[in-house]
Amino acid sequence: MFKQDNQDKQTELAQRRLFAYITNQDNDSLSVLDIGTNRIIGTIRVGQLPNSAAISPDGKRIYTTNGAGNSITVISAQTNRVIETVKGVGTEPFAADFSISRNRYYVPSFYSGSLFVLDLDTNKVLDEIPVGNGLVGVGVSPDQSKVYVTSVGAGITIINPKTNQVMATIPNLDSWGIDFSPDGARYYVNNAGSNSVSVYDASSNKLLQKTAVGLAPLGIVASGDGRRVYVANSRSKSVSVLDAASFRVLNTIAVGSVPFGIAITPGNRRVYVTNFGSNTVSVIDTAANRVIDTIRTGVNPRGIAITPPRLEEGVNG
Amino acid sequence: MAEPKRLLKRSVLVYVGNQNNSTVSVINSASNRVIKTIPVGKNPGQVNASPDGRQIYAINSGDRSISILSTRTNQVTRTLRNVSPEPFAAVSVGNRFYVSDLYTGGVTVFNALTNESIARFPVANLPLAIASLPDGKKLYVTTQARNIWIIDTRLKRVVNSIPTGATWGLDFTPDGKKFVVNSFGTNETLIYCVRTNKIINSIPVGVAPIDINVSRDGRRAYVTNSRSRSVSVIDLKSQRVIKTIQVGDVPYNLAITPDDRSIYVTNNGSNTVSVIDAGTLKVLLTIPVGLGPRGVAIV
Repeated sequence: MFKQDNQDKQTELAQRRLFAYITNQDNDSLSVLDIGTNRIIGTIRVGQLPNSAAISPDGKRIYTTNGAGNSITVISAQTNRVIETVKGVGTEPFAADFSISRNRYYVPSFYSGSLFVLDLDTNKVLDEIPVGNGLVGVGVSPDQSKVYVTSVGAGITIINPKTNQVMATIPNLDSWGIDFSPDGARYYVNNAGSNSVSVYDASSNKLLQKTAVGLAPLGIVASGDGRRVYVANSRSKSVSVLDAASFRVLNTIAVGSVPFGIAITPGNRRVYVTNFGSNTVSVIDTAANRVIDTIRTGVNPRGIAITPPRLEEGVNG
Repeated sequence: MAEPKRLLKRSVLVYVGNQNNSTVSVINSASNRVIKTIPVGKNPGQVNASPDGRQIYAINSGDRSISILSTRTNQVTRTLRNVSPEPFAAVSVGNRFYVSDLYTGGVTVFNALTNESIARFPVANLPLAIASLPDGKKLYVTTQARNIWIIDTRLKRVVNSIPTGATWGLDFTPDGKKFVVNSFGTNETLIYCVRTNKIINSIPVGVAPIDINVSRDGRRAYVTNSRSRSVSVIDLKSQRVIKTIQVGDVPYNLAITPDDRSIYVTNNGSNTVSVIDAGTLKVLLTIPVGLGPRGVAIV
């Protein structure tokens, strides 16, 4: 086990360069962090108040949603240059996720209450789907058959990406971050108001469990090996580590002020958390469950995306 | 209301925070033109007037600061820095002003005479709006998440909460006996009794209501429906919507002139302000302002 772990680590950290992309909301910029060295190697100017970062599943492009720019900045991961600024995505775009099979990406806008559907090649807005009030998050299911939109006013809305029609609405007063078990059997939703994480069965949409975490959980990420779920507790200066099988909190790790965005490396060795109030990113070693590095970023680091697993490697990278 | 003719002639100044180009537009109500555009801190959201009308606080959500403007000179007289990670809403009460932070969920208290921060205390997850009871003893905080939280201004802590879903704008009737609050998720305005904290009535309004203001005579409440491009006018006696007025895209905040005759509405998605005549309940005119207008205050 240990030997294999070390080999995995070598593959991940030495043989392939991984990057974390962090939006600095108040600098209107994106920091590029080299995960091998944990140093910021570049800063890219984006639109106003970038609130989230997402990376295409092929790892080639980074997208920031710009809350006050009412735009999306598309960046080449190869050159770290802006390819395009996309407008027409409503008032306060808030998040983004992808469907490679449909060649689409999906962006919910908070004040428009719509989900915008864009073409991955042309960056054209193909559709605007009215969803509900106060949209904050989006997640495409691992099999890409469903798009989930979270909100502070409209519950969780599930959209069929084939028809762009609403399939179901799950009552949840205060859903925020969403992620999936790698097999797609479950989805996990942070309840930002009630300080808990809900686990739903993806086929029945039944609430299976609700686990108390820290205050105002915003970002959430499930490990690619299906074993852990990490939650950023924005008002508790901590990250909760949950066991994905029992859905119990295994550890609570102290980080900086207002931890917001959270992402995991393809080999599940490191979790990166943006500390919106401290202007830093905390690096968590997932084996030791402790912070091993704290890196200064721009002002109000918020969104974060990490180089995904190679497509041929699948989610287990 | 004793001298309506004089009141009619009195012009007021309307201050609008343009979130997306970091300025405050000043509109003179006599001409209904922008007479000045003042650069402030980054991405101002709310703007609030001091109780004496001499100062405007622009809450700059994009650089953790507050710009203080003199309404006499229309210039920034001071910038308060490092207020909190994302200052979002504010209220002035006597010689204090209170600023809530969206993501820390705390409130910072400032002495309005010295502009020093004198206290900071936790409130709740994702606070949106903050309003003071007419007597200044309690503050009510609404949130994106759930519940309305009641703060005792002397104790500087939460003393009570009212169970709700996501709520946004909140205002009191002038007698302090009732408050109205927008239920952001359910597209309603709720009327509560202040003494019991119980709902008296719920009134369907437009989609995603954000701001609400009660007229000084206590007869009406005006609601911005952010996803309906409209303002709902509620008669507080019959507790019904008597008119829905079409305005611009994403109407956000509104403010009523001291004579209750005009309502200024920021259209966040249209970069304009709609001026509504309270007599005819029609839009008198639409004024172009800066980009992404949100907060509005009248002195």
